[in-house]
Amino acid sequence: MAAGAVLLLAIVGISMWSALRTSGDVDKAARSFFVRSLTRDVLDAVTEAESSQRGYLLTGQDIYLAPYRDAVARLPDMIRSLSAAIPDDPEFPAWRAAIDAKLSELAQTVQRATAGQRVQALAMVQSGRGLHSMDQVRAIAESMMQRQRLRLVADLEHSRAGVRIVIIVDLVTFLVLAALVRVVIVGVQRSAARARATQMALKSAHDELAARRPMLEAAVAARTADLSRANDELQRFAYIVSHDLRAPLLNIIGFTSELEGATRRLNDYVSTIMKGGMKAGGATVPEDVRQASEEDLPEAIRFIRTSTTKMDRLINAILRLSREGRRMLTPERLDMNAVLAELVASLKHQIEEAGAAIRIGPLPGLTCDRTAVDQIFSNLLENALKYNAPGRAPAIELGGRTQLDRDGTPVACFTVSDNGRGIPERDMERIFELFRRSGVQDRPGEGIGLAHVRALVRRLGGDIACSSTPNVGTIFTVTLPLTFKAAGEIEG
Amino acid sequence: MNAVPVTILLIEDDPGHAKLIEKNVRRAGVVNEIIHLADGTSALAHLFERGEGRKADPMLVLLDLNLPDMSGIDILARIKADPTLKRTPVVVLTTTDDRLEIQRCYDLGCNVYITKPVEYEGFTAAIRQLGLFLTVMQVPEAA
Repeated sequence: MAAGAVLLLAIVGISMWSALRTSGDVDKAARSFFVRSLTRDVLDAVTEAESSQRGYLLTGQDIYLAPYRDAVARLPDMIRSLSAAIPDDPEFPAWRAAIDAKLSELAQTVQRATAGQRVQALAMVQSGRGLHSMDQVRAIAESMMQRQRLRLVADLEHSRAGVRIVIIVDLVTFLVLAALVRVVIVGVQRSAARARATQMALKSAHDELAARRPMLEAAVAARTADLSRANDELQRFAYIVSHDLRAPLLNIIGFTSELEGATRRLNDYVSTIMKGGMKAGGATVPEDVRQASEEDLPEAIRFIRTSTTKMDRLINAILRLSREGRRMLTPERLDMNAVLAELVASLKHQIEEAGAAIRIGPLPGLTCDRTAVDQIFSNLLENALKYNAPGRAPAIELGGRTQLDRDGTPVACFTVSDNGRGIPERDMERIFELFRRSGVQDRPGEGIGLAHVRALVRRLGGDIACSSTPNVGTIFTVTLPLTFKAAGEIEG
Repeated sequence: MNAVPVTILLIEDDPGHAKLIEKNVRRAGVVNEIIHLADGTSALAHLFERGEGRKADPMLVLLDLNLPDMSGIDILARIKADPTLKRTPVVVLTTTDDRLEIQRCYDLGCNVYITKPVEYEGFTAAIRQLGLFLTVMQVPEAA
């Protein structure tokens, strides 16, 4: 395109130059024409003057002399003009001399005749001097006019050539313009074609996507089913493992019990012997046997019992979680203000003991599984009551609102805020893990509550988050769908 | 006790459990012979491959569901489907407390379903009650 513009400018330049040049050529031709006609006029005037002289000499009548006088009067101006127009004509000086000679011959004869010497005057004419200069004037004029004609022809030819150049330039301009227009048209067509191609490509991509959508959706569905299956398997696994762990545990507990009974009997017997021995002074019990029976065995049994009790609690917790995961959820309409008021009422004893103040804000309603919701909030409330800051009575606030989640779906968002001891940043994820706890271990618990809460919340299609400032308080935020849809529950 | 001594068939893969069950049943005053079978295959062999002899002794089956080679439910189904053994009382004694599993056992004709409590006190109490129950239970004559 830029090349086209440069070309166009060049063409305009050439066109203007050739137009100017042609106009110069035309000027020159016009001047040549003017010079030629002026030359002829001068020749005519000289011829006229001669004729007038002859007439006067023949008749002697003054009337014939008028054209002579007139011509002689005009000639100097005409010759001056011609001399200005053709200062460089090689024959002009000779011609001028010839004209001067002729005019002087004419003037002399007219003068003689006027003075009454007509015979002398006629004799001068007869001498042929006048005829000779007139022939010279005529011959040189013819030659000059011939040359001027040639120049005129050349100038016209030149200007015609200029016109031809203009025509050619115009033609070239036209061609270039046509070519440029063609280039532009082709360019426009090409870009239109490109746009069309892009559009086609977009459309085909779109079509392909549309065609693949069912496949993608199927893939997502399959993935979801896989996850659901994996989750079910995990639940099953937890269930089986906890059951299988129970069997050996039952033996440990059972035989520890047997051991305890046997130890008691042994112990009784040892005591009896020792008493009897002291009384009768008979058999004695060695010190290490006494120690084994009275101290080592009971101590070992105590430790075994503590451990089996703890293990039993843990296995039961896993079992409960897995059973909770397998429990069929039945959604129902829940007035959350009423649900939480009931929960708070059921915790009356703990609340009074802790001297806690609980405030329940207006809460959005839900369609959800009652038991699951109860368990979630009773766990959170119990934690808020349990982990107060030392020397500060718990102040707990339950709030709720409806908001939009990332997909723009309205969800219920509940907050349980306390003024408790808080949770350090590093434990934020830990607290939701099974059997993990945070901070000073001065409260009873197995580290199950929040793991259970998170499992429940997720199963209900929601999420739980925690933010906390140590020694200031903790806020748990539970987000739940407004309506729980029991998707895939039938499979579980 | 009954005129004909009733044999107790204990089908239990865990020897510890078997021993604890036996001990606690005995403490409840049960003196009947207890035959312990540790897997499903030998239990089925004992029940179905003794020929004529089996008709002679009435028995009571204590059945664990979690056996290494098969589910106790299969044994229960075989017993209840057998014209000779169908009236034999079967007490399911197992760790499984799955609601559906319990229902299935009763549907198949299980007479009593007892979940082994994990707490030992609960376990011994349950076994002793079972023992007391066994001492008064009437077992039908083998058909």
